[in-house]
Amino acid sequence: MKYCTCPGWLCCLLLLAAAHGGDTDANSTIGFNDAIRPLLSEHCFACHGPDAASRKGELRLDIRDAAVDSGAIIPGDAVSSELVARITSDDPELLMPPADTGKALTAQERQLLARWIQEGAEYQKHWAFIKPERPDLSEPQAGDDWAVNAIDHFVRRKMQQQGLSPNASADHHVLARRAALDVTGLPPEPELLQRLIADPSDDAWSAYVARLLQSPHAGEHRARFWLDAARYGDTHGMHVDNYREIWPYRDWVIRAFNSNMPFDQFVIEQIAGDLLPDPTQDQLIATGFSRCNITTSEGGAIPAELDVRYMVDRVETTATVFLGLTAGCAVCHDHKYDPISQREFYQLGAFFNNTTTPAMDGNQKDTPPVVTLPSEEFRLEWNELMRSRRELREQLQQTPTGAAAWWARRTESVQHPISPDGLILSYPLTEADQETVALPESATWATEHPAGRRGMRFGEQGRLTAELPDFRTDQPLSVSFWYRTPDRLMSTTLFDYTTETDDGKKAGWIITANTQGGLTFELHDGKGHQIRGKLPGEDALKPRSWQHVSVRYSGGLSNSSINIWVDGRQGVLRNASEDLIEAIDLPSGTLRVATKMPTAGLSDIRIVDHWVTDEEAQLLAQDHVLNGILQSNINWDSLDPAHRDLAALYHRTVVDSDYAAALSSFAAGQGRRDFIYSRSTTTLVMQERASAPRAAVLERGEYNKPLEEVTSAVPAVLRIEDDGVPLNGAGQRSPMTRLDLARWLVHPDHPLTARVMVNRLWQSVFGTGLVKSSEDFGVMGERPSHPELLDWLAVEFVESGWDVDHIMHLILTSSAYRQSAAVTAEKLAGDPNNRLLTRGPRIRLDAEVVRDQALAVSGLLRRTIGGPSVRPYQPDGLWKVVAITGSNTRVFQRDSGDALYRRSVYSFWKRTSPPPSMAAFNAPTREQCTVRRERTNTPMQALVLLNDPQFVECARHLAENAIRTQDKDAARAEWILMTALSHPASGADVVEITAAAKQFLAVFRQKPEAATELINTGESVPDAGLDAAELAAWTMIANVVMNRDDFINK
Amino acid sequence: MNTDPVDRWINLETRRQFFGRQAKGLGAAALASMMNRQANAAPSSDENHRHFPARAKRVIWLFMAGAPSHLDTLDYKPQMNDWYNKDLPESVRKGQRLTNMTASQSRFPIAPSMFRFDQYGDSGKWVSELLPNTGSMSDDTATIHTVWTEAINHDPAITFIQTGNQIPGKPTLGAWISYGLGSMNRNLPEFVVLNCEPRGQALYSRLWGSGFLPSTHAGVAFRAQGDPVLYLSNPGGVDQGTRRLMLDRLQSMNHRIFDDLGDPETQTRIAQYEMAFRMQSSVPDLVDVSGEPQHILDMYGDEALKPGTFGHNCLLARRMAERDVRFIQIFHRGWDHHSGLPSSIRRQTKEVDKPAWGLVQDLKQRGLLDDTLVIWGGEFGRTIYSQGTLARKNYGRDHHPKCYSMWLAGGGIKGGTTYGETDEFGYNIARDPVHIRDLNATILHTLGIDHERLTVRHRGLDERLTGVQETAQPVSAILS
Repeated sequence: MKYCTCPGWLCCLLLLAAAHGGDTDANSTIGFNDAIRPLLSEHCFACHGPDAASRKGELRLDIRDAAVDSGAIIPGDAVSSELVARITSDDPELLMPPADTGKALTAQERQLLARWIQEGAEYQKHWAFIKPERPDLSEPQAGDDWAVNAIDHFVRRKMQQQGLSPNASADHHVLARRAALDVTGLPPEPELLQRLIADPSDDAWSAYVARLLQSPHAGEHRARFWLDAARYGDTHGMHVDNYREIWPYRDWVIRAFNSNMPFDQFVIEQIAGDLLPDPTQDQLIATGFSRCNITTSEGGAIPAELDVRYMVDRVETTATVFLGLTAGCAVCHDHKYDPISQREFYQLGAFFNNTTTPAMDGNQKDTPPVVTLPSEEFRLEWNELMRSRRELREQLQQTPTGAAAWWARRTESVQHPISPDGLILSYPLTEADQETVALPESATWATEHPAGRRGMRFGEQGRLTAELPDFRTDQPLSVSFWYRTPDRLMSTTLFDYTTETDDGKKAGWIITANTQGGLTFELHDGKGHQIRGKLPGEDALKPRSWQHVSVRYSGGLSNSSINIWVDGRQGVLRNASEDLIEAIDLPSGTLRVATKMPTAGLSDIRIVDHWVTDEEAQLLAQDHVLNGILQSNINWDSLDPAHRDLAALYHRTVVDSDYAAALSSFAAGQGRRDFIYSRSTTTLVMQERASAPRAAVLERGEYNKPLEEVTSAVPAVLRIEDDGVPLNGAGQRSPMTRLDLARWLVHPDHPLTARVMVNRLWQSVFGTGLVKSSEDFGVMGERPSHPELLDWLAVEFVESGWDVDHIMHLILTSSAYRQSAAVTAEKLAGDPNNRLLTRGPRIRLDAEVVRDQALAVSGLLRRTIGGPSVRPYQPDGLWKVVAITGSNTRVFQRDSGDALYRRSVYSFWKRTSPPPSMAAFNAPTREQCTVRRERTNTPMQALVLLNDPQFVECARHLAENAIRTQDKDAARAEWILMTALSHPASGADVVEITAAAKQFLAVFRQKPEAATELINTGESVPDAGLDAAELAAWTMIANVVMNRDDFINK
Repeated sequence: MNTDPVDRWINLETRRQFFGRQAKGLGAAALASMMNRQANAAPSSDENHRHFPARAKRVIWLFMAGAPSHLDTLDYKPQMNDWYNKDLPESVRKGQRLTNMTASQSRFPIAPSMFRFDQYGDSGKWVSELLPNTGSMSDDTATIHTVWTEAINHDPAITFIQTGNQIPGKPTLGAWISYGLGSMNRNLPEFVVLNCEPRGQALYSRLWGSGFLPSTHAGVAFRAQGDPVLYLSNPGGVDQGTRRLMLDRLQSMNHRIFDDLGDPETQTRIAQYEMAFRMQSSVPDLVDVSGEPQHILDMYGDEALKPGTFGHNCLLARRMAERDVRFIQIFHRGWDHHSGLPSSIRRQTKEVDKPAWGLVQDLKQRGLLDDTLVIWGGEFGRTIYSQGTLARKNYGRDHHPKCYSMWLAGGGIKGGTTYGETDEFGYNIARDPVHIRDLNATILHTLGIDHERLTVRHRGLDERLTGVQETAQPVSAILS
């Protein structure tokens, strides 16, 4: 169907094209990446691109062979090419792109496509997928005297092409402040500034930048960008949004930047530190990168669905942060523009699918797996304890072999499978044993226990009692019993061993059940503290049936020292918070059993003074089955496999004395383990399952619609020949591990990782990356403004040993960076957004820098590095208004003292309600990966800087320091301006400020109470030695200065 | 807005000369004329996304967070009385997935609503005795019985209906509208959120976030406690006179900075400080309801004067509508009735029924209802079968995404209509489904926006509120 649909004008167009094609000027050849791919991506690829599912007419234009085979493109013959026919057709039915897409090609674009086909339709790989080569710098460049380093050669050349020239160098004070803010996020230290001003040489500048890079605050600043990318937060982020403890990961990032850790190592440790040989504690902490995703434990959530969500988030984050690719587009279908198929997305997913992390975070701070970081006090003991427990576990994993032999000569007929050692109370509550206890009147014998006629059902009154000996709360305790749940689940007290102290505080323990079938064990220390283990409703007891329960408390004086087992399986407790109690003596007293439990029943109550082992908890739940087996005559090999397992479990737990001894040693260490664990910092880490990484390709990304199973692999377009993945015996590649993925990311031949990182470093300094879409280096991303510069920096980065500080030093010592930021009409016309770098960067400071700078110039900044997150000032009620009842981040408890004045990187980040003064300045919520913040200019920002007590308090401290150190108004004005802006004051500003100070002073002299009120803003106490009205007036002055445009900008 | 950079710069130059250094007493009025609210934001505003004539100029969304039971409020299922405590037939449930809360339940006994339903108005709609006032305005409202969603839990579901996606990170409806239509007033935000007393399920600031749109389009959450807008009040000891004095000095210095460097952003900042100053009086004026006469307060129920209540927030919503706030969303919480539904829903409906009615009537009598769209509903429905204990007068209901009811009134809505029908169990849709994307497309439609054409390029995709690939259709049957 290729009759000439070509209108007359097209022939002219093609003649023109042919003429150009025959041109001897080699430069006339149209570059695919420069000119053609953008047109095809924008207009054609959505239907004729990589996505097989939405491909129309079986036509694919992103691969040359496919386009040529289909006849759409006939290289060298534009007139016969169907593509040209269709883009120029008069027939609206045939015209491409179709009108309903809302896209149309201009005449010039049509001509370009035709010319390109006429010239041979050469394709190129997308620029970002080709390994960068270092561009040749040997040609002498115009303006070389301006250039300090290679960066300037590229920048200057581009400017010249556009007929533009650079600005002069900025004033040294301005420059010193700019660099200090860019490197450390803080204003320059006065001595460093003075030294620089005294020596304006290039060498001094270079040394100054190097000094800044050495500062321990540089790592804090650089980490901040990374934490946006890693979506670091201090809460889980969804639903209950409880506290999550992972700040050691934040501190690891700061340490890594401060030590200028080579970036390849930085990547490997975060992606796969756990898979390195003998990983250090730090390498494990680093894997927190993949644990920073938001998670939930919402009651109705479906774990399989959550697992998919988390996997998708990890792939998207990894792809955005390291590859600069929008892999998320391939969750539901093949990527529409970039060559990442849906299958390949899930192959990437397999790398992150293979973790031991549970889908439900349990609303707890330490969703496993975690690394435990005990305080100095416990560190040695903990390490020793871990070592001995590891040995015991290894010993226990070697299952004894003597079970079959024992079976043949056994003589046991057990009443009870567990040793009576340490038995404090035993109430069998069987009809056969009714003498042992005085029964309440309304009790009846149960008939439906799985072991036959056993157990007691209680009527309305309930209530048995028993005397228990004294007990210390740091000693272990296990309570096991058969429980026949009521016909309708209800709130019931099963065991109550509490008393009230003289001052009305509760002491002792209690086990209760609720209407959802949940079970709770509580232990009160008589001093107003309690710990609690709660088996939540979803996981708990079924109504109207007998179930075996073992409640264990290790003596560790914390919530996590409690476990609850039901029918031989350990329940997942909801320990949202880690509460702690003190050790006390509980005197002997009366235990009340079954206080309120009509229609419910109990049997075989056993209380022991030690931690019942897992094996014992399983045996207890099956004692009747076990007895049946033990009394049978079946030989070992003929036993039902489940029965044989149970007999073997009994053999090793009870009969094999070595095994039993190891078990009890293990149990004996539990209390101390729990005690130290619950008093230690923990941090979330990655841990790989033993199986090979796999994932299912999901239809439209829906968790319950698996299509096919895939193993781990990287996208074909980015595969590297020599990537070091080992071969198996048959010479085939082994499935890639997460460690292989990490090494692939930082392989020297990788086309993306280095470019993506140097681009973000550039962005952090100039405000815009060389590739503006720093999150998208794919086909739809923006082309680099300076492609050669980007490649040069990427190669330099890799060849320098992935040296981040080296790249920063290069950027900051360049002439491009050191230009003045002044804007003229000419500059605005020729380079409106400074993409050509014809002036120095002048951008509004990021949220954290705005606050940190205010703290620094006021002298309030506390420079401690690292540690738990802090809660500085924020308006009351913000958390409460969003939080669910029961969330442990529902009430915002402001810190006091030094914690109010820490750097903002340490501010507590509740993801459903982030710090409001940060959010106003475009800080992200950290719910998902962010590699580029927006930068707005809003009235809300003005309100923060004018009125937030944090900033008003800073202004007052700046004022106090000015009054204390300077006598005259003019001197104070000069001092405040110099301190705040690192720049000598202008005469006009000094005049303005001294005049204003007089006005404010007059106001506050008239209203002394207003002065007192103002200077008492914030927690710190104003200097009583200063005149209140004067201090208030100068506080207003400092507030003016700290709202100046040049204070908020760098 | 003139986008040519040179023209912009020359304009700024002219203004600079005009206001000059001696213009220290720059008044609010003078600066107001050069106000440029989003000079730094992405292209937006100025109603450049209006694709056809709008019937509504503004929206008030009464969001019932936690998901009210449609079966006890708007969707009348009288046949269910004969089904008390009988199992929901498998042919109805069709193995549909359940939340983890009832997935392990051994049976699914039907819990008929214990509430009486009455017929109202010419339209003859059946409405529960829990919502008598809502019932009485049946001829003004369009009721949809077949709203549905895929999400089965609160966090993803509420994120879905607000942003068109279950996964956090996309802009909310209000942000899209702010982006698409811009501001109608100079002293207040375009998108305001009013939260009621914290209760039950959580909210998240992302529910009024701007996602990948510029954050100027994010909702501003007004607060019942402290400053209505964060950081609005001057610090203690600083009155507006002192603040003005301070701002005049600041602006004078900032003009000098602009003289030196010529950065247009400096001019924007000067304007934004003036906007902040104006908000310091416009916002307190907005929330000061002391001038409202008693007969008006009475329309909003017993708690109209109590900040943080639904009644008070409805009254504020009307005051915002009068001041041309574009999108107002009230979050009323506590509708997640897994157990003890009858007593809980009584309290909930008592709180919302009268004020919601009052809001509609008040808008109507002021002539504002013609161009204000009012919406009432939650993030999903609830199951016909009981979760946990079942008695005639005590039952609970689990989450149910497959159908639920909402009502809409005002600009662009055909009053008295009922759309869609569920099966006799209120479990499946019998005809005319309305996906939450369709609902969002309908809302945009009333504002004159074609949901397929309100797009933003983000990470290579032309993102829309209704999804990049998904289809959605405004519900034309309820549009006037």
